[in-house]
Amino acid sequence: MSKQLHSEAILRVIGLNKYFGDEHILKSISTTISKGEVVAIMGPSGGGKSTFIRCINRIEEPTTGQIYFGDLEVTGSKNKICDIRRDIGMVFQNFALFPHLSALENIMLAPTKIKKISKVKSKINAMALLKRVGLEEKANNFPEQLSGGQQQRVAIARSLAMDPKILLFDEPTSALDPEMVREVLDVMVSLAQEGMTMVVVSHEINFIKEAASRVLVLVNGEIIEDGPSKQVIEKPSHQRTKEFLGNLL
Amino acid sequence: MVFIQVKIIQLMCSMIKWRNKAITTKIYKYLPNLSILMTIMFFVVYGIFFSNADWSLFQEQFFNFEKMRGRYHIFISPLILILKISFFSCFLAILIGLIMAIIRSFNNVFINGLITAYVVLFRSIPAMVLVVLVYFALPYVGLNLVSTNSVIASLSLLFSAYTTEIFRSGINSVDRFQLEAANALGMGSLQSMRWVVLPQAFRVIIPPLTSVLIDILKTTSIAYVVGVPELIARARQMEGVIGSVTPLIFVSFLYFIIILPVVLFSSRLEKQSRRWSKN
Repeated sequence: MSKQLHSEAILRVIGLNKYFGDEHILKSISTTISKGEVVAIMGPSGGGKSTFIRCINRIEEPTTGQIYFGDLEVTGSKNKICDIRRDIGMVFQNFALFPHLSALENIMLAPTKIKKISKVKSKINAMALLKRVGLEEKANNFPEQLSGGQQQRVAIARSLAMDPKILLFDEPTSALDPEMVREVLDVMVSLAQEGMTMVVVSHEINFIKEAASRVLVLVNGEIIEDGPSKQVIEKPSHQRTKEFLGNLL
Repeated sequence: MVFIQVKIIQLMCSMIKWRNKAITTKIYKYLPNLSILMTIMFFVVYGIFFSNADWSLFQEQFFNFEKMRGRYHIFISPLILILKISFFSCFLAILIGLIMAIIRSFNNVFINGLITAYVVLFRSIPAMVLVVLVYFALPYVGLNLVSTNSVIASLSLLFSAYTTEIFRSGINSVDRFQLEAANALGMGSLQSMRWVVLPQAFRVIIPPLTSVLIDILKTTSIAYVVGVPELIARARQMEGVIGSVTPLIFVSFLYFIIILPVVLFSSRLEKQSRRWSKN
């Protein structure tokens, strides 16, 4: 992507702390994510990756610290959080599709109910999104009738329907059978190529090499490594990162 | 005779314990029919073994429709009355229960305490006591309700305690991730409740809610304590006049007729709400 885009900060995290009871999960994390960046977050389990990404749209309540989305403070008044979340898409590990709605209705729900877009218009949009993730023929199937990979693709389409400025992925492929991982990653790679800003918690090393522009390594609630993906994966500076990557390959 | 029925049940239980799965599943499948059959068998066996039973006297006491001839129209207005009372009571009980369950899901400690107190209180007051209190005690604090309305008020209060719990358990049965996904899309708590949580809670709610609605229908009979001319009260009056318990039997039949469509409607709703799920 072009260089100017990178300079514009879309997400700023300042001194983010999260406690679960006495457990210190996130230790004063600060980072800035620019427009068009694809940031992969790696690290051993229990390191706080999921907690961090869930704090970004305040699905998890941060204990202290500030998060800014553009000029808006995510960690500010609770009343505005819904408006901010509309511009932050999120894809979950367990897909979290609405089981009582068909694939098409899943995608249409938020635009019609929140943005009050007409049914006809949002249906056209939803069909286009389904086509984009390669599932037009499954439009009227319920989530239970879809495979894991198909469900996750519908989930991606659902978050795209709100036209988000940034997409968060919380381990999008870790609940999938190996042969379904690729179809989901393909969609994510094409999103990255189109310039979507993405934050991805993932251990898919091939995806990271292919699509991520930057890697954060989160260990015990601290960012121990932050740099271009190639550099972090090939020449990690921290001993802990080397161990972790060694186990992964 | 109780002994015989117990024996039959024991026999059936031993059959169900059989390792033969085909037979066991068949029995389970036909269990409702079997229980009807058993009841009929019970009467047949009773008739054979206790043939000194006085059937004609039994019929005269309980199924003497001869004497009821020309009196059926008396039940029309009480029937309409209890339909009215139960309709408004069901409506209010569902409305209050739904609102309280939704408020409760916001997890405000203080308000939840109040709601819990409400539920505990109204679940433990006997229906008759509450009807009497609402009708006879409220006028002292300046609230005069017509007897019918006081019955509606008491039934709504009583049963909203039950519906609150039913709606709450339904809401709790929906996966936490569903709420998170709805929130992540930018839905507020009421929107996610309306579009995501409640539709899924619905299918868990229907069976217990149906029981409560039927219960409301039958508890309307309590209205006689404040002088509302409802079905049971009328039946008992007629009982005195014609000297037979038949009116009560007839009224039970009327209740059955009212309740049947409720049951059918709810099972249809339940089937519809399952269209998206295998289980």
